[in-house]
Amino acid sequence: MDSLKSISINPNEHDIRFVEDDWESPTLGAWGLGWEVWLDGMEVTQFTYFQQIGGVELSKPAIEITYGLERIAMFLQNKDSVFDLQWNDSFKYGDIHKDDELQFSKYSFEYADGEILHKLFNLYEAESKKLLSFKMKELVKPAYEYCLKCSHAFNMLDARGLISVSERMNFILKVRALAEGCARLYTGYADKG
Amino acid sequence: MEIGSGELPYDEVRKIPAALKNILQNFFENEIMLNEKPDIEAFSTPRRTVVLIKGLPLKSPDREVEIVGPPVGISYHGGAPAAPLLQFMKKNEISDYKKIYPLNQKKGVYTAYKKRIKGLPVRDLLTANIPAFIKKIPFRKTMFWLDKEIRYPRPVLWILSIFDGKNAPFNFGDIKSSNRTYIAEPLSYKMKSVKISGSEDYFDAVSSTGIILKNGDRKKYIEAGIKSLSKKVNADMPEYDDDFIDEITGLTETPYPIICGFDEKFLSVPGELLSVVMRKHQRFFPLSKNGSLLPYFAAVADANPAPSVKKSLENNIKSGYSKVLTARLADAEFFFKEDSKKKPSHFVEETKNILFYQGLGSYFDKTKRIGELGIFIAGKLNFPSGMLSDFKTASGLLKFDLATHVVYEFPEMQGIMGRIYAKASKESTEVSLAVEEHYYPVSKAKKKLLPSNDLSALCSLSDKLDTVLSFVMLKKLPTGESDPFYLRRAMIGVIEIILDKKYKINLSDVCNFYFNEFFKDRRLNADELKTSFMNFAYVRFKNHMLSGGYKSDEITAVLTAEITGDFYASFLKIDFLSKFKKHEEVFELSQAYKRINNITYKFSEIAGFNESKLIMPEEVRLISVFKSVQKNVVPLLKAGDYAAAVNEMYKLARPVNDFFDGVMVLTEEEEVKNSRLGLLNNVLNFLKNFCDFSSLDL
Repeated sequence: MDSLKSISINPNEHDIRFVEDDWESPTLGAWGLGWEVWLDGMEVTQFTYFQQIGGVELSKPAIEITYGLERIAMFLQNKDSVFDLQWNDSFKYGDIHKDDELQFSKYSFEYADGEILHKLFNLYEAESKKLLSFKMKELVKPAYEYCLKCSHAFNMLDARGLISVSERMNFILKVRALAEGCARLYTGYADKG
Repeated sequence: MEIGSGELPYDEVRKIPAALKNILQNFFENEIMLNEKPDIEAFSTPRRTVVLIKGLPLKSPDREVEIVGPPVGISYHGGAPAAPLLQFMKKNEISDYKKIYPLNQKKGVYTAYKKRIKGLPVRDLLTANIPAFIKKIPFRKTMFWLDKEIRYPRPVLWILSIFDGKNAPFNFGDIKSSNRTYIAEPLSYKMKSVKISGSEDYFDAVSSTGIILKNGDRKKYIEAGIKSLSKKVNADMPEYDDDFIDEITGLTETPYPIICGFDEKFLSVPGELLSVVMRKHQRFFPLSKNGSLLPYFAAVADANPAPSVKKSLENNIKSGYSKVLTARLADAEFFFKEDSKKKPSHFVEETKNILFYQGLGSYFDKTKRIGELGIFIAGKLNFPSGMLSDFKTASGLLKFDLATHVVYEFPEMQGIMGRIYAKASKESTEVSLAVEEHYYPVSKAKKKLLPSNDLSALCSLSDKLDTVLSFVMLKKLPTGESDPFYLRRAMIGVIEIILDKKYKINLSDVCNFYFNEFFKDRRLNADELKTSFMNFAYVRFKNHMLSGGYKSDEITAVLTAEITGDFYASFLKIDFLSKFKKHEEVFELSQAYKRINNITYKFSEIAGFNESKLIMPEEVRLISVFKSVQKNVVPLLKAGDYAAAVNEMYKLARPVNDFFDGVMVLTEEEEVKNSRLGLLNNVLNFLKNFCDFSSLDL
């Protein structure tokens, strides 16, 4: 509430609601309970009390608060489209970001190649696995980096509908195994077996 | 007691009052055995779980509990207590062994003692047990936030607990209960702590901030608000399900109904689609007048503004809600316009690529089967041939909307969009309507909707029977609680339509046709599949009858003899029995039935009889009455006139009784004996055609 007030949104003059919205990422073995925050009906913030990350039950919950900055800006500037937001006095949000949006949409929907994405998935998975196999804590971050790349390749394939329903679970479990491996190595669970 | 927490999910809010009341009632009545039931009230808002108990004594009553010791056989030695009994006495502080008495148990005779348990201060009993009560509330999903053992659907922020005017302290994890609650400060979003000395004090403090604690009151307030606001813009009172209003009740503690508007240009999008967007996605009430949507909607905010900010709050809510809705409506409009550029035939083609289920083909394949199955059913129901061409058109269009943008984005629009797009491409009203109504029966705004005509009913029956029969073939009928393919619902839908439309059709014929006609390449064991289908159908029918208030014996009597799956006839018989089973005719017939059954059940294989061997007057009489009754009853049964049929069958009661009184059935002469048994079996099977009279509870 204080954070909203500090950007000139007076909570007394708005309908601010905390509505159940639990978050779960099966690929990362992470889930938690929480809310989406509605500002006069618009979702602007997400709260999550993580209960599990990387398949590891937490002993203290990690709490995540994510602000939808573009949405809050749209609210404050009274704009209907994100691209119409004033970036500064001279430029709009669209001037800065619309081209990215277009190019990546074009790539993702028209040019992304299922075969390449499959290969990338396998490469990223293999690299992450190899790094994890050394069981060295000082390699856990690169291992995790490749786990995220792997997860990204999966998301691209999934969004393009290039994974069948029966394959989908296998992909999820592969990424999840990497995420869990990283989490166990990082927390020292791996040493303890 | 009040548990203050972060906002709970609405369905948890909804279940709290009854669950908490139950837990407390059980404690007071069964655990500490209060003589008088206290008055327990429980309320819940997203942020507060509240219990108020009136009429509690300060102390729980003294009571006696029977405790059981070792078996008598090992408890005494020469009349004095032996070691095992002494141990029992020591443990339970029993000084006088003469007060121990023998008690018969299942395993033998044991020693027993009436132990007096002194009452305790109820304050202490409560504070010791409340944490356990909280844990017992059957929440759907709980979390921990600090202490792993302490769980609740969202973090607990404070607990207020007062007994007899004073704080009754206990700990729930890191929270120490106190005599303070927290309410919003006027013109501030911060909560201020308020000291509470009793229940009146508490209710005053909370209601001063506009909070409506009682769930029922909150619901009524919301409904009244929506009603009066609808009137203001000259709209009809919106229709909604109980779930919808309960959801909103569970999302607010200071409900603030408000009317907002949206751009009229969206009214060119079908009202059904706009309504779904408003209801499902934003929890708004669409408003309409005489069935046409208005560019307004009612919504419920959670607010209690001070007068000085009321105006700006309302403006913010109105513009915020409208803006959020506009974005959604614009999406819906876009999808609708995109779909409208193409003809239904285009989408029909696309359903070839949408899998119905692995092994059962695409939705296109499904509609092909529906088409053939429907023609067969229409034949059985003697539908006019004019309807068949409509059915052929409709059946091909039942699933095309699954390929449209709108249904992909808003799955609950299936059927409705099909009807709208079909109508727009110049299909007849009946055909278009059938596309929507083939999903019926459905429940909508507290009402059950059934197909409104034969064409819709035929489409619905064919689709649902195809679904059930195809999963029967895959041997994937539901077991236990879960029913992932909604097969039970589909089967109940079939039964509801048959009864509603009074269709006389044998489902066993439909089943035979189905497995003869479809999936021929699979070498199906049709008999086995039929048994499994018929059992599945009968169980659904039986449950449907039970929930309609019919008695188990009436249902069993009819279904025991029924093998064709003609549920409308079965329903009429069950209905007849429930009304007339206490009448003399039914009673006498069932006595005669039982007399026959008692003697023939060992000889059920004897089917025929030699009339020339049956020459005693009682035999001759029975044969002649039987022949005439048979002749008269067959058309009556066929016509479903069960009252007249039973009246006719009743004529057999007397001759059957006379037969048993005058004739010795099990005579030495084999041929005579067999003829008598054969005659009786004929009579029995004839009566069984109507029902198994011996199952009736009379």
